[in-house]
Amino acid sequence: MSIKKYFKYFPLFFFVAFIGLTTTANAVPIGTDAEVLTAVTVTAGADLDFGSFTTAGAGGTIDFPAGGTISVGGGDPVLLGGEVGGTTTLDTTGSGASPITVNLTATLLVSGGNNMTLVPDCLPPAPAVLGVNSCTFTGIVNAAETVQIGGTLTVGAGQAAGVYAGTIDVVAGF
Amino acid sequence: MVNKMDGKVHGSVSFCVGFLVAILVVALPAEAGRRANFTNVQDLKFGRLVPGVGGGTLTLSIGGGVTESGTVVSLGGEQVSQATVDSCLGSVTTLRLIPRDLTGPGPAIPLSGLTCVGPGGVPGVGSCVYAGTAGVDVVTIGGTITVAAEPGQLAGFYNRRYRIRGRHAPACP
Repeated sequence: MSIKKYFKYFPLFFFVAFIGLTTTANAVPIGTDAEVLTAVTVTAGADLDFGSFTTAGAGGTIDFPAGGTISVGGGDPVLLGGEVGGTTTLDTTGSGASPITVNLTATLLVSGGNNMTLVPDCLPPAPAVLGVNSCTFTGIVNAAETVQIGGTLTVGAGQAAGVYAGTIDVVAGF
Repeated sequence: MVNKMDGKVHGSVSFCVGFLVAILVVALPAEAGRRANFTNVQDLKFGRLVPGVGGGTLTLSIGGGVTESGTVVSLGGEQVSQATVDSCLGSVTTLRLIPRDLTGPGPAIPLSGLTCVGPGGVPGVGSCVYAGTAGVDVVTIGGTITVAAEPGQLAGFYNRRYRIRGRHAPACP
């Protein structure tokens, strides 16, 4: 056989050999996923103001629940008006409609060397369930939602007159 | 065939050599083992997370532990991936993991460090090897995602499918 015929058959041999070397591995797809949420931002709204009141010396408590009306919880305080409910606004953009918890931490209300204790509470938009020190609600994506802020003030026996002020830290998270 | 005029042997010998080579090549084992057959049991889930102002990584170990880096905060919902693989005694199974970036409303989230482990085997990044058992093996897979900082990494659901390949050697009967 001539050289030309040899090269004529060579590609056939190579093709046959190549078929034997080619294999296909079994590849299985498996899903993976993650949900990215954006941190909730908090903006202060109206300050919580218990207004003015007097006490004959026995002391007591004043209740001003979030979203509610002010009243004397016990003791001898007499309310004189001027109260304003507190509010805070939450930007729930990117919350993925996840439950959001609002945590409150109140400092003492101070006037000179005197102080009063405040236990804060909050009322979220929905479900509108009052929570002491914290409240939870389901965020709405791309929305600015208002949370009402209130609390219970303890007036001590012989509480000195004065303008008492403090702060409530509001932290919102998933 | 011998040419009587000059005593040399021509083309018929070359033909036989070439064909013989082809036969030998075809007869050689083309692969060391048959492919492994998988069944997906559960997907790899990184759960809910907040990237924070710096972004970072979230690693899900094959033991189920979660490690955050940067400003990433995990909010739960993680789940390692698991798949079953047919196997046999006396065979060694090799698995290879092929990651793919997660896609969603924002920039793609790279998936890396896919780690697998088979029964009694040593965990490996990208691939792992273990001795086959007499039945169906359960392999576990973890990995790492890298998220960008807020607000670049837009909130939303990101997903993709990575791939797993495997072989048994020697081949199972």
